[in-house]
Amino acid sequence: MNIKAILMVIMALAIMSCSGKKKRGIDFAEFKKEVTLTPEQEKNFDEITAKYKKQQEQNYEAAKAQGGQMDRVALGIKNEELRAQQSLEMGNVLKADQLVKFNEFVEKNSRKRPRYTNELLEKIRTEAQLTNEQFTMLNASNDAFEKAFNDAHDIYHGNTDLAREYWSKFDVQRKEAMKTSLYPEQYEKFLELVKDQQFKGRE
Amino acid sequence: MSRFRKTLLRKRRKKESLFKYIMGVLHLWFGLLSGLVIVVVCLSGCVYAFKNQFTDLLNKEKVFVKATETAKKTPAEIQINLEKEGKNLTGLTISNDPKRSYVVTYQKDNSDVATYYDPYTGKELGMGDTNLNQFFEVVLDIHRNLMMGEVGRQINGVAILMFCVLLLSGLVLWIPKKWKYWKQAFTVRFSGKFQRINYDLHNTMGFYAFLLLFFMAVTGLYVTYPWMKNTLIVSLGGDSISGVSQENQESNSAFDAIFSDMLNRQNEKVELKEEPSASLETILRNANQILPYEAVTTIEFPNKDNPRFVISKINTNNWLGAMLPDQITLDKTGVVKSRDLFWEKPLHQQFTSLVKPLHTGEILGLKSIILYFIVCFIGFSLPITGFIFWFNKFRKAK
Repeated sequence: MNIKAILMVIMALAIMSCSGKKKRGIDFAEFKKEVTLTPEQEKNFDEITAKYKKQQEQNYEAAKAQGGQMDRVALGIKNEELRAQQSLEMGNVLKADQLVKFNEFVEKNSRKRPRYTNELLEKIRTEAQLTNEQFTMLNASNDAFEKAFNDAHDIYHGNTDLAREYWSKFDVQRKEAMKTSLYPEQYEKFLELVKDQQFKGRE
Repeated sequence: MSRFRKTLLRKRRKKESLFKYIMGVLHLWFGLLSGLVIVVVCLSGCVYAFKNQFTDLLNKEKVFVKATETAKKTPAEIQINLEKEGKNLTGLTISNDPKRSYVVTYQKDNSDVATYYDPYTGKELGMGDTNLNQFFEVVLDIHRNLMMGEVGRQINGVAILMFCVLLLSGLVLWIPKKWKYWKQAFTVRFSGKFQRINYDLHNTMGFYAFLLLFFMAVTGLYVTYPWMKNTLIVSLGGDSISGVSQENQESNSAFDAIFSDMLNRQNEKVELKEEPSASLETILRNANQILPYEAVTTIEFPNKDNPRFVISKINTNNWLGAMLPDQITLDKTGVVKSRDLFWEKPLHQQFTSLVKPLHTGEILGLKSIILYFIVCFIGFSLPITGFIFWFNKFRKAK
């Protein structure tokens, strides 16, 4: 029996002896309870989710490989792209209504980059009628928010309430940065558009 | 019932100071209350300490390469070779150990790939088996939360607080009463009877492990309790983290600095759009002027949101060989735009960026992991030897 086999046996025994919730990745079994899939759909569904779960794990391992320092923002971007590709591929397997539910499920359960999404940024640009210069400021304040929040990870790590406090603090600073760049009526519109943006701890 | 009373609340001995008596009783009570949790936490810590080593062992054909006479491929050569196959390099981790492979990440056909890479042959080795991660996630959950979520975390936290008291009271109890007992306090006499050996293992090994166990416990509490974080950060010169959301000068100026840097990045996206990208050699040469030492180096290439190269190095050129992270960013043309160097950070930020490796023992690499393992194993044994010691007294009490 080689080392790999021994390690696998230890791992299997340990997992069998424990029944805790897995912490990393999405549990798609929950989705399959909510949405009925045909056997053919389920087979393809499992293949696609397993493929992207593996890719996500590999990105994570690569980000901290050889004792290197993890760039959380870069890792977040890669995972965001993976989710987009997964959704595209899932479009070939699921019906339109199922795909909507799948995207909602992923949106709800995945660890996302802590920032305004590109869709929201575009919406703010259009509805608050931002100039190119103002849009640059919006992107910069949003990126600063993301970096500041990730930089504070070493402090709030392991404590959701503290993470929420940091999120709120940087959110205020992000808004303050925009206040100086927008006209009052634009700023009002901006606040209205981002009013639902809140800290989302992992569910 | 009286046996319990006699052993749990013994009478004060003649000539025993009140302080030492209280320490003794506290040591017993807290030991009995927290013992089981300490055993579980220390044992899971012992296992988790070797996570990276187990993972490397499982993937040894990919993680390790045969160092040959042939020169290693330069990052630029790796990039060119991948480009020939239609692969767009997005990240590269270069090991300074000649027997270790590199890790490359690239995009091909809109798909991200991460793989180990032999720098001598230029061959992709595939990505490692990540199945052990699931096992270690369970071990970590046991270590942090006893697999009981927030309730487990709080039980764990209280037990570790008691453990701190146990370590301090244990040190008080360890101090020999007379000069002639000092040698005995430093040695384990394996030739004695079982109870004697058990006592020596508890007393002497507890003393040797005291300092590191206390350090591990405090850095562990740092994760669980914001008040402990606050105490450590403030004592190291940082601002209080209680009431984070309130205004404070240090964090306001920190955000302003990040905002200014991000604004520059936004402008670079436009201003440098037509500029040719500097070669990887230029990027690394310029980076090495700021970070002029051999180290594990990670290069993140510009992406859709970040127009900069991000170069990270783990600096081990210090008297302890501690792994201290440095990071700089360079724009598309190779001009250094920001630097985040460990030695330039204030003490409290140095501490917060190292608290995890300080807790796990990864800070000095394998040598400190082994040391932590031994100490953690002693921590695991202390409640057991302590319980045996008490149970023997309980058994004999009339």
